[in-house]
Amino acid sequence: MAWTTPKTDWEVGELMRSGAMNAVGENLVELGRVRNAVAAHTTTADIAIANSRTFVDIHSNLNLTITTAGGDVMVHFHGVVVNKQFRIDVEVDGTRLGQDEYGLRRGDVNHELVSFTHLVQNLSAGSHTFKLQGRNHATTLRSHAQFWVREI
Amino acid sequence: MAWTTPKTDWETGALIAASDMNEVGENLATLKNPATAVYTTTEEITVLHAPEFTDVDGDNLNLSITTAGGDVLVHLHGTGRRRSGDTDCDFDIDVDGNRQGGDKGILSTRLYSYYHDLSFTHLIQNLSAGNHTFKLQYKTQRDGIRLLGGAQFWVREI
Repeated sequence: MAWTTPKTDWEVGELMRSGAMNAVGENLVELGRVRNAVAAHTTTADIAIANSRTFVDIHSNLNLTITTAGGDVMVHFHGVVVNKQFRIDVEVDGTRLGQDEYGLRRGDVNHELVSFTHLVQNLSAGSHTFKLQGRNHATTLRSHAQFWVREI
Repeated sequence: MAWTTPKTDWETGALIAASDMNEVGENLATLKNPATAVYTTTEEITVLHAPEFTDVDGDNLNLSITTAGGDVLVHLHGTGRRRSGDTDCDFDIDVDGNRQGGDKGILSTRLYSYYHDLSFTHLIQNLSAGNHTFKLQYKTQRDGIRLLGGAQFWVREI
């Protein structure tokens, strides 16, 4: 249900109509909906990230979709990357979030723990797809990495 | 808007006052729009040798929010790069003039390669209601580091 700006200017003697109480209920429903607007995937095996000079999807399971009512979304990733020379980014509806050259994260430490929680603000209402992408040289993402998105 | 502890002791026959309904509306608005501030760097930031904690970027990595009182998450993620040899580097958050960490801040690391992941999500509890300022700070014992563009620093009331 749509969010309605809560009424905060009640005056003494004003009649409380059913529409006003319904708006309170609908707003509570909306707050409950946001708590469930989440998608997540935890890898169960090592993933070999394709050797590429451009950012490419790491795995189809790491493509997540949520439908939002419009507003802010948190995008989180944590995992261990094996071998050096990796770059990681997140693509939202076809547009990468990070820096053109090296994305959200550039690393060259073997077995590095990579973690970020990126705040995307003012996303429009509707369905949005988030893809974890990499640009790498013979890099492996260790199992039990996790990628999640959540409307907030 | 301020958060008011919701009334949960209504009794049969109790009259609902206008102020009661206004509190309901204000509480809903507070839940829907928690105070948030964010800055994403657009270019590389070079910070020089600093033996004491110093602002990374006093203009931009300096965020303010007005809270209803309670807990706040403070997050940083980015890629750090040493300027020369292995470099010990400590990061901290200054909240209203008070650093949160110890002598080595809340994130103490050694940049022993060119690029290094920097990330923390720090929970600050029981912050009073009102305006609060959060500054990302650092110190290094060598000739400084670089924070690559695309790093993000955010604070959010929870």
